[in-house]
Amino acid sequence: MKMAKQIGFWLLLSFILLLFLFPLLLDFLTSLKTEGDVASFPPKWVFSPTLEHYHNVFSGAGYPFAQFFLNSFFIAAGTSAITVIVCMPAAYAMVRYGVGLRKFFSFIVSLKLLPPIVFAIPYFAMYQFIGLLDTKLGLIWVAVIMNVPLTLMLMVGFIQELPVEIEEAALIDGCSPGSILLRIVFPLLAPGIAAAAILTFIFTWNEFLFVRILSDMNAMTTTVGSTLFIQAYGIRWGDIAAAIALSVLPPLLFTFFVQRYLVKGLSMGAVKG
Amino acid sequence: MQHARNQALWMMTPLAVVVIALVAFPTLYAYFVSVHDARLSGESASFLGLNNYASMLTNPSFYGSIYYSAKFALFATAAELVVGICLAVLFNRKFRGKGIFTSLLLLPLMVAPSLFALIFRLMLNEFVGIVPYYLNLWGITVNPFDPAWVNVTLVAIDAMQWIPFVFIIVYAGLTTIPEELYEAARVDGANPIQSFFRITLPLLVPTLTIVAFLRAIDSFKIYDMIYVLTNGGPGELTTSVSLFIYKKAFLEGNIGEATAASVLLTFLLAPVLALSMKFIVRRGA
Repeated sequence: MKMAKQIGFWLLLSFILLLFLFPLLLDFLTSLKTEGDVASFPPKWVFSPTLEHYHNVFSGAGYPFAQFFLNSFFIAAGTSAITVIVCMPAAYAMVRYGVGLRKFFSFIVSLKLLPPIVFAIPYFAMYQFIGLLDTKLGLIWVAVIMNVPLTLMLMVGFIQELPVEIEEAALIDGCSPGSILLRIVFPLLAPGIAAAAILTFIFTWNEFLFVRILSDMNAMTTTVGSTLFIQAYGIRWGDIAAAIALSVLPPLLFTFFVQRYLVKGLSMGAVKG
Repeated sequence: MQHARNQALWMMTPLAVVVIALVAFPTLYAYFVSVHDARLSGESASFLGLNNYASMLTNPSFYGSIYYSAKFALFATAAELVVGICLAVLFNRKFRGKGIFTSLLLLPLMVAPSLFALIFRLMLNEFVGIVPYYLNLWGITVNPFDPAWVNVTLVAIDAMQWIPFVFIIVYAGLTTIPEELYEAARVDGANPIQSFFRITLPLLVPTLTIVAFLRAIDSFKIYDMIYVLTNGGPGELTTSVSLFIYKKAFLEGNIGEATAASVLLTFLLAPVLALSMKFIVRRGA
């Protein structure tokens, strides 16, 4: 009886897991099928895999997918770096000197709650005016403001958990606040900072709306680039599946580094994770 | 001490500069654009006063899209909460491999919503899609993009992606409920269902409030998924407010009206956001 219950529980669990991972699994499978196997009815579950679609995505297809991929990487990495550099001293000043912790902090966090489209249209008009449309720099700028709220929130939390005594001792020894930040706080917070940077990287990598609106072929990233295969000369599902598989891989791999901070990161720090 | 305070202000400078450049300036620019006849083509625009606002406020499609977003948020949040709570309760026991199961269950959250939607375009495609095929085998021949079903489809896909989010937060909330409460209830003769409704749910209220707020705010913004799957169609049936503004600007080319709509939406959401900020920043400051 107890055994049966155990087995039932495991079956249920496996079914749930399969259900939620099914879209991803199916996409990986589809990307390895020949175009004929993709279109075959009934669906083939056993087939001889091929890498032709990955080859197509990078060197056939008519879209510079490799370029999209590099763009995604460059924009996500650049956004991560700038966001961390900007938020770190500000978070420190907020916690240790109480500057702007109430109003300014709340204001920044509330930005994240507005629909991004509200920002996108004025940015489009502005970028048109100053010539930042379809540039990586333009996309980085926008992504920074979208990610500052979360990063700031995480860092304020991290610094609040640091014992202040170390810094006090350093002050007495004649360290300036700036060098305390660089030499003491930064090394101590390194794991947390890395987590914030990776989360920012993932969210920027997955961004769609701003890329759709503010870029064309030059600065386009994989999220928008993958959808282009749909309008191309008939729908080539195998190629699309391969493009998607490649595009979701970096965020999925990075997830394992930020498991601990995931809940906090996804809920804007509203929930203790 | 004065010296230290100056140092602190100096540390705030980079962030302040970024916020002024990236928020204050575009906001002012948005007000400016919204009172002009700005077009996508970018030719010089004449001053219109409040005409753009007036035409938005008298546009039934604008109201319709706000209503659609609100409805979508309501249904998606409700569905995600119910299933997410069930999953969390299911996981709230000792079993082997819990860590790895949890990690795997969180993976959908890391997939870009636009790509998640793109996978579903493949799965639901009437010619190569796997879902219609197996539904047909069971004698179900509905088109998932049929006006009668399209909203069910969209909410279901949103739920597929975000149930894990609700699950993980509710699960974290569950682990803080002391075991003694359940033991005491058992001693008093309560069955598991009574325990759930009398102990678990009441104690989860704060967690559930936060999750519901986060999901509602987030799904109200819905854009990526709808853009990829239906592009707001058939007709205007699935046009969320984000999509409405997008189409105003980039299909009709009316940047002025789209910006006015954005400003109006911001005003409309301000009180809601102020309320939710109370929940969210409660811990930080």
